[in-house]
Order: sequence, then C-alpha cells, then structure tokens
Amino acid sequence: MTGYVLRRLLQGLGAILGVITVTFILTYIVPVNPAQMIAGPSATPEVVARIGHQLGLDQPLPVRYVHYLWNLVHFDLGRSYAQRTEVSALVATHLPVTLKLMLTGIACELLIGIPIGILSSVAQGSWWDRGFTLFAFVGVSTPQFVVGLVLLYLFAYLVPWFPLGGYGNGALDHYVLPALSVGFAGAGWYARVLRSSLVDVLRQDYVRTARAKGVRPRSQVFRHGLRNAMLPVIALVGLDLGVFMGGVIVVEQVFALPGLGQMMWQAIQVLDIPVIMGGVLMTSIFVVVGNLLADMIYPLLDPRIQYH
Amino acid sequence: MTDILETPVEAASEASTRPRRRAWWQRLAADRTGMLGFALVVIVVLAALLAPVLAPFDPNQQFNDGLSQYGMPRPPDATYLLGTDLLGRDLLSRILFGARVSLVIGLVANGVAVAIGAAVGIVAGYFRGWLGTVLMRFTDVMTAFPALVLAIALAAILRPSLWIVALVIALVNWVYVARAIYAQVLAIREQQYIEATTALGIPTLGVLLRHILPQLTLSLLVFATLGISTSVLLEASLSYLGVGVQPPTPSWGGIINASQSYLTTAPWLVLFPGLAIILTSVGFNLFGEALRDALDVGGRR
Repeated sequence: MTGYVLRRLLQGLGAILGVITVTFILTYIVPVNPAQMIAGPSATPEVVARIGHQLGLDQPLPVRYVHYLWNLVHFDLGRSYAQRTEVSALVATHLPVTLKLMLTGIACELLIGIPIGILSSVAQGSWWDRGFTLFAFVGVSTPQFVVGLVLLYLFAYLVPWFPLGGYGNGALDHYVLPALSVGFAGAGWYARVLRSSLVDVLRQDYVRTARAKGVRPRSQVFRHGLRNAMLPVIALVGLDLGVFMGGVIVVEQVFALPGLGQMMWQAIQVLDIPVIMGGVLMTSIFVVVGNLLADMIYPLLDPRIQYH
Repeated sequence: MTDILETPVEAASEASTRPRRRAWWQRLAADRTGMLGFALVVIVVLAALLAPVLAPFDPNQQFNDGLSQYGMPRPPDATYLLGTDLLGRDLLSRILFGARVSLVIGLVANGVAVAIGAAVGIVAGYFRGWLGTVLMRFTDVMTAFPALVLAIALAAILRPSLWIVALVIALVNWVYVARAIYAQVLAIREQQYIEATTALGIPTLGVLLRHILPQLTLSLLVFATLGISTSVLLEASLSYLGVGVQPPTPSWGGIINASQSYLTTAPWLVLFPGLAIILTSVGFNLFGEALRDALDVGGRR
C-alpha cells in the first residue's frame, strides 16, 4: 500500500511538472511582448528593452524555465507584471473563494445526486425514474453559466432570497446559487451512475440473503447496497475534477466571485504571465490531488481492493 | 421420404434466423429517446443550413424600431418573434445563424479531436514501448489540465477566431478519445489475426490502417457523436467568457455574454440562446447514447 501511494504521488508530481512545462512553452509563444504591454504603446524601444531585461525576458528559454522551477521549489511563484505583488499573495487571497465554491459545489452534486440515484434505482422504470433520467441528460447538456444565470433571475431577482452576486463578507448565502450552478450537471450525472451501480448491487446474492432474512427494505438499500454502490461515484467525483474546475471558473465569472478564475481572467486580459502560470498551476494541482484522493479513499471504503 | 427430409431443413433454417439480433439501425430506430435526440439534431442541422431562408431578418442589421424609446431591447412580439438584442438586432435571426457557429465548431473541433485521439491511441497501443509510454504520459499531463482553463489560456494567446476556437477545443478534448482507443488497441493487438499479419510480412502502416482501424470504427463513430455535445458546450462557455467566437458573428454563448447585464430587464436574451444550447447538446447526447447502446460499444469519456 505504501509503495502504491508513493508511486501514485510521484506520478502526480510528474503530471504537475508536465503541466508547468506545457504552460511555460505556451506563454513563450505568446505573440505579444509582455514588456511592451507593461511599458504601454508609446514607450521607446529602449524602455521596453530595459523592462524586458528586468523581467528576465532577454534570457534564453531553458534558463528561464530552470529559474522558474528553482523558485517554485521555494514556493515562489514570481511577481505579477501588472500588479506590484507576489503571485503567491494573489493566489492566497483568491484561493479560499475557489476552494469554498468547489466544496459547496461537490456537496450539491452529492446531496442532490445521491437521493435521486437511490429513488430511481428503487423505482426502476417508473415515471419518477424516467423523469430523473431526463433531468440527468438536461443536466450534463446545460452549460454552468446558463444554470447560473437562470438561478440568478429566479432566486435573486424574481424571488430575492439570495444576493445578486458578488462576494459580500464571504457568508454562505453568497455561495448557494453558485454551488447549485456548478453542481447541477454533476448531480444528474452521479444520480445516473449511482442508479446503475445500485441496481447491480441490489441484485447480488448477499442482498437477496438479507431480504430472505427479513431485513427491512430501507436497510437493504442503505446498509447493504449503498456502501458498495457508492464506490464508482466517489471515483468519478475525483476523476471529473478537471471538468468540474472549468465549471467553477465560469461560475465565478457569472456571480462575480473573486476566486482563482477571476484572478486568471484579469491576468489574461493584460498578459500577466506569472499570474496565469500560477493560476493554471493551482487548478491543475487540484485535479491531480483529486484523482489521487479518489484512489486513496477507495480501499478505505472497500477493504477487498488490494494495491500492489 | 420427401416430407421426412423437408421438416428438419425447414426447422434448421428457421432456427438460424430467429435468434439473430436485429441490425443495429433497427435497434437504434426502436430507441425512443434516441429518436427524440435524432429529431433535435435534425432540427438544429436544418436551422443551420436554412438559416438564410428561415431567418426573418439580417442577423447583423440594427433596426431603428428594434429598441424601445428608452433604448432598451424589445421583448418578443409579432415582428421580432424572440425579441431584439441590445443593439436592436433580431434575436431569432441571430440564434438561427448562431446554429451555424455551434455546429461548425462541434463538427470540426470534435472531428479533429477524434482524429488526434485515434492516432495517438493507435500508435501508443500498437507500438507500446517507450513511444507508447511517452504518448500516454503526455495524455495524462493534458488530462491534469482543467480543460476550460487550458482552453482559455490557449484562446487568449492565439487570438480567437472561428477556426482557432475549434482547434483549441480539439486540443483539449482528444485525450478522452486517446485513452479509450489505447485500451482497445492493446486488446486488439493480442489477437491472432494481428499476429498473422506480422507473419505474412504486411507493412506496419497497412496493419494499422487496414486491420486495426476498421475494428475501431464503431467506437470512433460513437465518440464522433457524443463528443459534439461536449464541444458545443465548451464553445458556448468560451464565447460566454469572451474568448470564443468574436462579435459581430452571432454565437449563442456570445449573445449571452453581451446581454447578461440586462438579465433582469431582458431575460429573453439569456433564455432563448440558452435553450438553443441545451436542446442542441441534449440532442447529440441522447442520439449518441442511443447509438452507443445500439452498436453495443462500451465506455463514455
């Protein structure tokens, strides 16, 4: 087990290193000179060259790459071109917002998806089941920003239960609609996954035995079925983080939440490369860690799974 | 004598036809939700093809009476069936022409993604070794990128146009195809007829194109259908964020981007393009899933 964990950790680190490399190459092929962006359109070539020198842009790519990695090992993400701050400081202010939105979003996915999955597996083929299937298809087919805007219109404007956007003091009511918007697609999707795995599990011999012993239907589903049927859902939540993260970024934009998405968004407008790099790096760390966690949680829930 | 012979022959021929499963298109045609999806797809395709005929107005023309006396967009009425946008243009016409953008991007982006994914998956799966390892590790790295983040970064760097957006989406989406195809090719290459091609001295390229690729046709067909929905959604999100298809070209995400600050006063500007996105995506999803079930190939994403 320890060996497996170590190997997966190394693989994760490798993936992150790959992400850094690809992003680095991408920022190198930007057709615009960042020094020119900072100096402004009317700056003389000398000024542009001096700024470029200060930023280290005149050095060859491999040197800059090694330099960046070296700083990264020391938890230094570099300095923002556009704002006179460290990128790590920017990340530190924006990260909690994204993290909260992610966690509340995943909570929404599961809190809505699991009951629906259970209901439609128990009532297979009923109108409920068909309705939920349709819901799942509409869920995965609807972009998060459309869900967000519809929720805003309904529950912030028509029925003013929630704020119209923004962050406020970071209270939970600012997160309800955004979390629902990111969680909508996943809720339908995980309901489908749980339904099919629960249908399989409830057909197995040990559940039949439990039924024969006179275990109440509720216990059959919750105590005997659900524990096994949840496994694929847990795995998917971890694996889908890459797609999920994209939704988080868009929804931050809809609700004007000052998270990593907004940070990167502003950075992209002015080609603030260190900030873009920092944002891409942070989000891909989420994805890698999520995949890793999904793998780690698996054996805890199911002792039958052995790793080697 | 004759009637003794006849009966077993008849029985045998009957036995050989009866248990055979219906052909895949018959199974597909019997799938009601799949056919609903197919109907939606047909509607969107027709809307895109016939946009110049169906659209009541020029999608980019600003009408003087398209705005109220306070300069606000007009709600749906008899002239402008779905209302007008912030610049007094006819929303219905813009949505119809927007179908072209969505479909072109969906088809091109996903086509390229499937082609890249198939190529990477086949090469990595057939040759394995260091080449396979490098290719699949690279695929892992690309999976660790949050798709939309990568697409935003690429689109911002490359300056968005219709084809760039399609390319960006393809560069993000090929990884799922590559992984699935890789797994299939690993299994296919162990089969005896592939071994036989080596024994017969058939050149590698011939083996890949004539003996392995045909085995993958059905899977690729399913990817080509299901992936369109993903591509359409990604294009909508990119255009909504302003790094997708640029105005004045009408795109559904772009229309919503331009009018979201008028959400409370002109909700139809978000509602109708939003519905267009959802219906298109639902259509390709339902049809793709039904196709997958009918063709009996596993795996989604």
